[in-house]
Amino acid sequence: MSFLNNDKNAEGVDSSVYLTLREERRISRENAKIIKKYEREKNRKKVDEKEYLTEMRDPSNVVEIENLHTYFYTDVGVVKSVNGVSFDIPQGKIVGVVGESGCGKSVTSLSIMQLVPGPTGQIVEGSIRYKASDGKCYEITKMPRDRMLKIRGKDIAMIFQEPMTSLNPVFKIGYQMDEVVLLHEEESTPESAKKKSIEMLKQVGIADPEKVYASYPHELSGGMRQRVMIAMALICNPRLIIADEPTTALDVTIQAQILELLREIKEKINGSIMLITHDLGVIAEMADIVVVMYAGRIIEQGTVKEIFHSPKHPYTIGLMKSRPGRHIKEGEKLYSIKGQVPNPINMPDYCYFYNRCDKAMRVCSQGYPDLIKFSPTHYAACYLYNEDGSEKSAEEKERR
Amino acid sequence: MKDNIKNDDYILIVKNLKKYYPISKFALGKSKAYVKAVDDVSFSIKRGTTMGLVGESGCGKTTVGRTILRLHEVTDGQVIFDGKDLSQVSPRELRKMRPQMQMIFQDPYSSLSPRMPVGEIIGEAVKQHKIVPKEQYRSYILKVMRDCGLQPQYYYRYPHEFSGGQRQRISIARAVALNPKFIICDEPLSALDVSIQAQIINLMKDLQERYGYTYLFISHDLSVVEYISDSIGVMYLGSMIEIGDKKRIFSNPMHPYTKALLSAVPVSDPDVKMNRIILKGDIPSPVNPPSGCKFRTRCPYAMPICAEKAPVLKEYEEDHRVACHLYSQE
Amino acid sequence: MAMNNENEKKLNYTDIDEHMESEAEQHFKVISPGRMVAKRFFKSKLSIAGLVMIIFVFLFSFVGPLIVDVTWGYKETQVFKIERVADMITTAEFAGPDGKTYSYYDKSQTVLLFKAPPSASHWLGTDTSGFDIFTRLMYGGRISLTISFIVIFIETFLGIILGGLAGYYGKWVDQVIMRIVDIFNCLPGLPILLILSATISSIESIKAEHRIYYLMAFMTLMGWTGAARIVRGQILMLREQEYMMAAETTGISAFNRIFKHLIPNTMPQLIVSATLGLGGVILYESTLSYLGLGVPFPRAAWGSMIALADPSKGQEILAYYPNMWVPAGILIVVTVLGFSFIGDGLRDAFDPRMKR
Repeated sequence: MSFLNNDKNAEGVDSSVYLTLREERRISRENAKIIKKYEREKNRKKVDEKEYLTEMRDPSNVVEIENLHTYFYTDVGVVKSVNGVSFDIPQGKIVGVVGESGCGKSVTSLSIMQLVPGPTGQIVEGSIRYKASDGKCYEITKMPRDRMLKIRGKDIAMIFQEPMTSLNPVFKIGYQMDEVVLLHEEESTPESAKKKSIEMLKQVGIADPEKVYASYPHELSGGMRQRVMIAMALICNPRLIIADEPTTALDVTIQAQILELLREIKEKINGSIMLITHDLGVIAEMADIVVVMYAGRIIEQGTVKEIFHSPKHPYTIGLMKSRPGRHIKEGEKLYSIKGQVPNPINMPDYCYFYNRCDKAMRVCSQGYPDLIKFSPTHYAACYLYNEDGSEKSAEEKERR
Repeated sequence: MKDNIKNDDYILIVKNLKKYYPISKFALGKSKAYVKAVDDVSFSIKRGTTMGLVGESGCGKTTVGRTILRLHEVTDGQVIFDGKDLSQVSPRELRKMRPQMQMIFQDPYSSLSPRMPVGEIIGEAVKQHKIVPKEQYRSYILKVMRDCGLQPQYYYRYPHEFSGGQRQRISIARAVALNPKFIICDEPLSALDVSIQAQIINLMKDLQERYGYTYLFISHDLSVVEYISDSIGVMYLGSMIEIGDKKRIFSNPMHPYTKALLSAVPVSDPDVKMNRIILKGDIPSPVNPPSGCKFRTRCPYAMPICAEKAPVLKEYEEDHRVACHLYSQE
Repeated sequence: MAMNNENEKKLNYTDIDEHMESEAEQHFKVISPGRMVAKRFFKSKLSIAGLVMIIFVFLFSFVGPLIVDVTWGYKETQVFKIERVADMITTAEFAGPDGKTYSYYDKSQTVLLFKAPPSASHWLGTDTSGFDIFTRLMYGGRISLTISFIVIFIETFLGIILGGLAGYYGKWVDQVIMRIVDIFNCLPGLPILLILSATISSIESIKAEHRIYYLMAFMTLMGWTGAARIVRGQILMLREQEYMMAAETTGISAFNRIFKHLIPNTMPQLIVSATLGLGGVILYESTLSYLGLGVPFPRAAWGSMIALADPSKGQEILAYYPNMWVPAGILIVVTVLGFSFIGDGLRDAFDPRMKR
């Protein structure tokens, strides 16, 4: 049997528990050194603006992420949560990021906000270029903390998964919304802030905005709270809304309401949305561009049509096939991707999907595949295809 | 109609099940207000089939499952399992019957005792009920583990070493080891990753084929329920509003809520534009549900009669019953 | 159809697969939750420091006396009379007949038997009664540690039983037990302890050396409420865990549910609170002994050793004989601090989320 000799790295077993005390000590000592270096960089005050001004590659993008590496220096080893991710968020488009838990989709969004939980989490390499409303381009990875505060919440807003915990339970909704307005708009007064908050609540389809304005978060249902969160995100006319699993905690009928609302809002403000989710259905419905992540890397990206009509990477194909739906015939078995999501520590230096892939070849275990271009917008990282995007012939696969 | 289903074909017959939770106004005072978590629910499941129970959070589907197993005491009604009324048996007898009906839980992290090795988690009850002779115990557990896709080395390992999918397999093995006839699956997939969900669904299907289990599959995920079930019950605010054969319900949903629910499921195809019915408003609080039909506050077809009289389940086509005034008028 | 399936199943399970058996037995490293905790515990330098301190105090108090007995033959209440000549200076002021103030100064020599300074044979010298201080520190530690362990053990035991009953049965049982806990928590501990010990001292039928046992019993009576609260809270929380429900659906008996599932899972919290409590009891015992209400003379106790320096009986010892009271103070600090470090380390090890 195949599992006779895999003692330490048995599938699905967290190998980090097998580290000895001495090994862990050594790791934490090394981590402390690295973390100190990055923290010093981030805490600098009075940085010349020139240091973090930059140029966009394409002026129609709001955010350009290039070769982003975000690592977590934990006591059991370095977790490469985001490991060389590049994609653009164009103006007025919805970019959907799909992947399973731990694939780095949330960490990517936190990196854009400079909210990676420190001090263990650090952006190690790469650049995130952001085009502000005043036409200047900022390099977020090099921005000092105090400068970032002005962008966060105003130009880039975030909607979280759990509307229950993302509102402060001891303050009224109105107070929390006014606070955002007063913080980011210099000429606003308490009265104008209240007017604006109520206006926003009306915009997100709340029938009785004055009543909601004066209530506490616990008095509202989950769907209502998520609407309030969206209203709060919209309040300063953001250029980019990052929605991290905005409907996962909601019921299907409420989810439909919220998705509808997000779509309307996008049209209204002509902003961009980065939609993070694990639900392929939500992506198919909402996104213009899809990014599929696996274990910290992008394995495939393209327009919705390209991804859903001609998926290239075996993982993307497997994900689509493994969802029950109309494509399954009566009595047919569901396709399932074998094995488990890999342990994020000590990732191999070959294709991360190798152990779970049906179509794995010998070459797949000899180095990580490069992105192959299928169309100007469609890329996938897989050895199954030739440089020009055609699928390799059967003999060729055999030979490899 | 209900009397003629007293049939050997059915492993479980639930009749007018009610579960009310009192809301006490004072710490020690008697209360008069109740949360009607399950309000007059009846259904039956044929041997060897799967019934799906769908509904949104707070609709009482989990409470139905737990009340059937008498993890919560029944307020009123009957639960007839294999010819015996569970709501009447003594606690002693109930404990003896326990192995026959099992449960798989939602959260694979809190459903396994953290201080027990896997072998013991699976085997604890096997020992207690003397399912197999002592000398066969270990090999029996190992066989069950293999059936559930767990490697034999896991026998001595502890749950904290496993991922969510593996833990759910352990949870399934624990249920299966007791040789049950009937298994309640309470949202067993909702905490798992997409690629792992398919593995668990296939495992459950396999086990059913091999050992003829009957499942009550509780879930909010309609596409999974459609795939795995033979019959389906739709719940809203503690009441069953539509029940029947899977194909009939999915091809011809009759209750406006079922229609909205089905249309709200996102489809993994960017070209399909669903003709979506978007329900307004939120689910009302179960403490103070609307009078008459509980769905009328959100229903696009609400009529005056809906506020006055609660609709009852009526059979409109073979194996398809709906509780809605829209149809009783015709 | 169902019958058919069952037969198949039985058949399937009787063919024993030798291969699988041997595979399960294969040697591999199993990391039990206990070992994980131990690993996390030893990772923290502070908890190792605590452990070293406590091990030192233990060896000092329990092994130390044996060594001293063998090498020097000293006992706890052995009186040493060490002659030493000391200067005795007498000064006085008086008014002369002429109205002026005169001072009287006389320097003479006297022989002291007690209060010997540190020397090679008496490392910390002797005290006012001629006892060897170093030896008595060891015996004092012995009694302090023994008392604190017994008190905490009984307290925790009572807490598990009563808190467990309250948590598991709920309803009126819970109400009654928790109200008793509330009442006990309202009582001021120290004043009652003082009154009680004064009362006990006045009862002639109770021997002085037994007094401490009564006080310990009282401390236990006051202390179990904390453990009971923790156990009850934990059980209320654990009862809602799905594995408890799973234990019920699989038909595990109530006895096993309580003793195999509930109690072991309340242990982490209890161990932490008991460890932190040990330091508290030692402080309590020292306070009582300092006030002369604890361990009676001539038995040694850290508290009563410090009491020698009581300034109300004169400044002499406080000022000139730090060797009599400073070591006892240091030992109390080391012990209490050690237990605190271990308790904190254990808490972080049991629940790593609490850290940072």
